[in-house]
Amino acid sequence: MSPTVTRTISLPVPGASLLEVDDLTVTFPTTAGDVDVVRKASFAVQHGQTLGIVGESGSGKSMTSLAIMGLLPNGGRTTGSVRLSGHELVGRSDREMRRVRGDRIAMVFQDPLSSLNPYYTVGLQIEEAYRAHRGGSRKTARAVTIEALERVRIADASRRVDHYPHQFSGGMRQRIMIAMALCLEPDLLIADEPTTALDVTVQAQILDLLSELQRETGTGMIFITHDLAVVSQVADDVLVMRGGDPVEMGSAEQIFSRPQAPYTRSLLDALPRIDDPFSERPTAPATTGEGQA
Amino acid sequence: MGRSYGEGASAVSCAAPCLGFSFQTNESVMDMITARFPVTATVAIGAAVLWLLVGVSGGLLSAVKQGTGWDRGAMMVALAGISLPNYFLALLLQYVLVVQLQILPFPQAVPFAEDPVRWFQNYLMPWIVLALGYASMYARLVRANVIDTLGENFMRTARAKGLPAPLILRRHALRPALTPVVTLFGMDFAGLLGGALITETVFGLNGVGKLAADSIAKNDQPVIMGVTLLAAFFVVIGNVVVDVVYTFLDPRVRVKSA
Repeated sequence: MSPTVTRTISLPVPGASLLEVDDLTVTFPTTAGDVDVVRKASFAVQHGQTLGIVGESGSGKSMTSLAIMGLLPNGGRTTGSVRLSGHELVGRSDREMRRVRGDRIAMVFQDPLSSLNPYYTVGLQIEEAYRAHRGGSRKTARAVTIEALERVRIADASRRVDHYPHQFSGGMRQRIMIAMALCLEPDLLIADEPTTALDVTVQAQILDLLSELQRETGTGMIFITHDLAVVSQVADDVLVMRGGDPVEMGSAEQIFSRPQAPYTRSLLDALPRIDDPFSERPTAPATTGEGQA
Repeated sequence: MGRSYGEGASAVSCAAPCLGFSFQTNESVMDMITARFPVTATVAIGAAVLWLLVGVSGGLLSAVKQGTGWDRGAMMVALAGISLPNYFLALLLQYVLVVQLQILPFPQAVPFAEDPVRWFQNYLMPWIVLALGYASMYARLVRANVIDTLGENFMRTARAKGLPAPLILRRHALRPALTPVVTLFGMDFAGLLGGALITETVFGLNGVGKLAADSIAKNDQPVIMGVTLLAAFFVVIGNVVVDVVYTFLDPRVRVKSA
């Protein structure tokens, strides 16, 4: 890795947003021809701001985030433009993207148990992320790791660092994933349904933790979920997706109080209301893109 | 436990791990087994080294190059390796390598100290024959395990952390994929220490397996029982060793100390 490459990606272009995505299209080849699982999605994320991406299963939310990371599963192709601090990421080699992943853009996934390797201590799994980008001794990495665990409020972090993933509860595992993602102080955090596998109380704790850490570090965040209630809590801007198409984009306030697209309206109408428990829920019109993703 | 047979002057004593005496030769079964065990151990160890090397590396390569010509070719060979019976493969190898091509001399038992080269040549074919079946099985297992592991969520996490690809493969894919191989290997190897009946017989190796075959043919029951007991002993030991080793390999089965 030449130092110049690192520098060109890491120095921000003046005036550029943290992340700008234009006409992002993700295509997978199938025996029946190419299928677009995301079509011409465009959005931007500012420093310290949160973009919520909402949509049902198969709407292309996760594929959008994997495309930004350059981590599409086999055969997936990205077209369009993804710019991080003004620097184009689409078309970069895997070697260059490796520098970006974890260091500049970090990810937290849905299922924290299967996202951690059961064979290694959580400490090692955080340390290796740190050392892959910053190098240094194991001792330094371990100190950073313990500090990161303390920041996500793992009690007794200096002892817990040597425990294995199965020795933690679900909520704690997700905290560990967050510690892993934030130990390198990335510019952008992509949280892909980070609270879906957790119960409601733990979910609230994780959401509080994320917004608190975001306030401290000024990290931009993309928060992917199918839960409108969660989005309304965390997001500054919201992108609604359906069947691979971006349906509506706007500020959270606008999406929730004055939704423009009929699909967004039917999504909001489908939410049960505590003051009106008996009226019938409208069903969203049948999805066209569901089977393609 | 030691035992004694008969009474008075004709009494015969049989020392501690007593397995009785052969009906055919009146030899102590324990002595017969100890005399032949080194041959069986040599066959088993040589074959095990060979099948681990070929099976694991072949499976790894196939998994990494999944869907390529190499993968398909290797899996075809593995299918053949599992399907071919040992006695057929043994005779085929002898015919081709010894009779037709004359690459190897006719098998003849020579002690290692006397002529290492000849000793090696003598054991080479039994090793290959025994190893092929196991290597095929291991290659298929390793390939399937590695492919499974590559699809795990924690592999995606490792990539999302920006780890270099060789480290991801070495640290995150290999260990979960190879741990089950240890279990299988312990049991297979232990099973072989009880004697490779067919291979030893076909190649005329005077090991425990041949002893079993001979004594079955002559209905020499004390020997049959002794050999069976030996095989059972190794299977039990093998299982215990595997269980203990497994606690070191997989933290999830480790006994909690706190």
